[in-house]
Amino acid sequence: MGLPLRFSSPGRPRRWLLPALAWLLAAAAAAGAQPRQAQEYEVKAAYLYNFARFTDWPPAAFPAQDAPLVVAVLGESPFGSALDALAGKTAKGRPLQVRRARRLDELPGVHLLFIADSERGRLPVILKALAGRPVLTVADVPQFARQGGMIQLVSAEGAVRFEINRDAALRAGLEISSRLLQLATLVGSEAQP
Amino acid sequence: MKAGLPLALLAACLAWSPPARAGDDLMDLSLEDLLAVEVTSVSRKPQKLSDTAAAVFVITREDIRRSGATSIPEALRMAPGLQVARIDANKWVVTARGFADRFSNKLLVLVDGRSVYTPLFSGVYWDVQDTLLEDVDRIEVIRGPGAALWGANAVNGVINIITRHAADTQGGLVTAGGGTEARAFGGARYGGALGEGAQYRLFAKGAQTDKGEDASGREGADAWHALRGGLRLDARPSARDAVLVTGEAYRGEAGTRYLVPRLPPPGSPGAQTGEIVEDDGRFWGGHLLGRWSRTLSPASDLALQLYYDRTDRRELLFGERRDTLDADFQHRFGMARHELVWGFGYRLTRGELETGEVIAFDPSTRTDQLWSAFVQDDVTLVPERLRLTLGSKFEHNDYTGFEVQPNARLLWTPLPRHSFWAAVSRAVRTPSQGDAGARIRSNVTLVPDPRQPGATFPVQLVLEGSEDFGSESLLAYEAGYRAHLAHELSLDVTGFHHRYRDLRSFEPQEPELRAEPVPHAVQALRWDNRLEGRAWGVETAADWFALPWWRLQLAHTWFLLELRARDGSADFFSENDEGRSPRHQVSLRSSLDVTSGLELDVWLRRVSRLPQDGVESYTALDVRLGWSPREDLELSVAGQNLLDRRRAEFEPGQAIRTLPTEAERGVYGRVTLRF
Repeated sequence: MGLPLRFSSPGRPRRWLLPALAWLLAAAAAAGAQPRQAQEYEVKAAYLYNFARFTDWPPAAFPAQDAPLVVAVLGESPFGSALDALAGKTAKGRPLQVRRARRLDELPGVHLLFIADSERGRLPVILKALAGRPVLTVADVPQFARQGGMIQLVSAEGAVRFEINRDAALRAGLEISSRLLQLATLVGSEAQP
Repeated sequence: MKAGLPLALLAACLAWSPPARAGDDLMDLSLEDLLAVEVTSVSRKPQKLSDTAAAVFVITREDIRRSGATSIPEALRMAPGLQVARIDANKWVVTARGFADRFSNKLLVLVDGRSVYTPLFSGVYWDVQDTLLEDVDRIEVIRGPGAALWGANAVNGVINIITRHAADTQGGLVTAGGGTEARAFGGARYGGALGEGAQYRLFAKGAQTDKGEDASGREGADAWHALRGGLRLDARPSARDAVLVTGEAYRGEAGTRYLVPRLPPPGSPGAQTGEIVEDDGRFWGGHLLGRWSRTLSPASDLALQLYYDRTDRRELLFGERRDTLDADFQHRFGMARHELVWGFGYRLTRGELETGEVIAFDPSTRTDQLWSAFVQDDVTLVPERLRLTLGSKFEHNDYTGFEVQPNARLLWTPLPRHSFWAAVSRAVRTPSQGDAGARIRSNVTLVPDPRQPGATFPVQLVLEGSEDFGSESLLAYEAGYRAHLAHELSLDVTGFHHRYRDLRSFEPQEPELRAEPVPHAVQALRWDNRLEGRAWGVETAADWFALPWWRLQLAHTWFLLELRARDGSADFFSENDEGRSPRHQVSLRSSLDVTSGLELDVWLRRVSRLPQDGVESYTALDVRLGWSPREDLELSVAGQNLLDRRRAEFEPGQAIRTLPTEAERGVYGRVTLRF
């Protein structure tokens, strides 16, 4: 940064110069020492991408060899524009496609479904409607995995972790990679919806 | 204000902003690295409102739908700390922390960033504030001063009504219903896309509300109907830019029965001093708002908003035509542990007033300007543990000149699910056009005539605005505790102590004797600032997902206000406002998903008595049964005020004699179809 050093006469440094320099150094040091930070739903969007990469869908879930892998958000999307970065990516050699859905009848063709908090009250209905279909269900609603959802995102102590209900995924014909399983908290269903 | 300074600041801030970081490279991180990414909280995000060091309550669209409320004031009854009382079928008292009145003047109400309180008396015409409730995303209710960010009038609270993004309301919706009190209502909305990244919706709504009955069972004159239509456009011209346009036009009629003061004819000792007059007040108006926001980086954005609003009213009391032009700019950026927001605004408002039967204005037309700037710094003292917010609003208005409204807030999170906060803030209510120049013909009273024993002499009381009336000020101390005790249970408790200075008082002037039209005296009571007050309260909200299909929500408010006229004041009635707020209010809502598609909602409220006007305590029960046979169809039946045939909720003051009606038991049905 071009500080106007040459405008101060020699021997009489300007009185503001030293504090200003100290402040700049402190700010730079603070910025450098920061852990990597990001907004919650940008991180969650990145998780969705990884879930798509590390899950195996049965071949019958895709209409064609090169058909896209469809990611949908059901309900009021909390992602803002964070999902825009997903489109254009590929997973398992398939391009990712992002959709919004409001109703259950818009879900056929979806492979990975994020269920927004707005649908909290309808969760049993949604999970029942999806039972047995090869749809990877993800939500950040409390108790989601224990209620029969497959992956629950958990925000705690400033980071995002995830819980996996492997049985729920297996029942739907989905194989979750051990890469995910070893980093997750594994839970089972407490009761079937 | 010098134009050069903000521009230079803006340029400097833009230069400081860290470089843009696309969400893209988060996608490239390994899973292990993702687990280590620290998540920052962004106060703009609705789900993060719970992290603010203020008393915040959010009423969601789902809450509104399941409450069975048919108007915004009814929906506001869900929030702790608010007092909502119905005066008649189209008039409400909506206030936070005391000073209840139809023209409650210490609350700021915003709809999508547009201020809807009128600069005429600093209150809100609730009969005008409506929209398709299905389009409301949420209502944020902030109790206590919000002045440091929002400015004057945000003294005791801020109500922020936010409508849904056009992308979330694509497709069509038709809703219609009717019943005994909410006579008939209907609305339609259609949303579509305008190419890539741009969506719109159009809506129309009509509603008709039945007349009430007064305490003696006589039918009121308070029928209310309104028709409105509008649009919302959301566009993303680029990945960094977002544009919002909203517009609306409305018209309607809201009736009232008034007791209009009259001088009795000479020589009739027991004569009437007032005449009951029925009025069909008419209102119409509209607005157009545009907002452009740009994301500079994940931690930095700026927004520019402009709106124009026209409102017209013709009623018995007075007539008003008002044009408002408002511009607002704000910029947010993060630097190390600081998150700074600053901005400035300008408002031009012109009110043309017509003298009515009761209120006259001098001058009748007035144009006022308001300049404002604010700055706020959110400092993380200990990451994840301790955060300090310092900020202030600086304003210049045409009545009192400069006003400074600072606040300091501290948020302490000792454990991840428990947080404590405390705040000290100063807020002012600046004078309104009415405070400065209204002349309200209030009661005519008969006093014994000193010259003729046994005879009476009429005295006309007149409330008289004053150019010397200054700002009312508040120093507020607040503290709160918030907990998510388990995933299913959350608790929010706020306690506060408010100290008011220079509150409005009415000072009696020398009586004047008049000979025309009959011999009488005029007793003027002039606006002054000689009242002081103290208030205390505790506001509690609890939310419990008892079972995945059963939710319980509890709100309780305990409130106490003490007012005292200062030495030298001869005010003899302003202290009575103490007794116009209930000591206790409780609301308990139960939302039950009986089976798939069948909902049963029960809402029980208890409001204690208003000692000043003899309004008794009451318990109200609302029940709603909703059924969705298909995803796109909802049928519901709601019963409101089921426990009483009718009940009084508020007695409007003596200054303007609005004759109230009572809230009656009502039932309505509704069909909503989406396509």
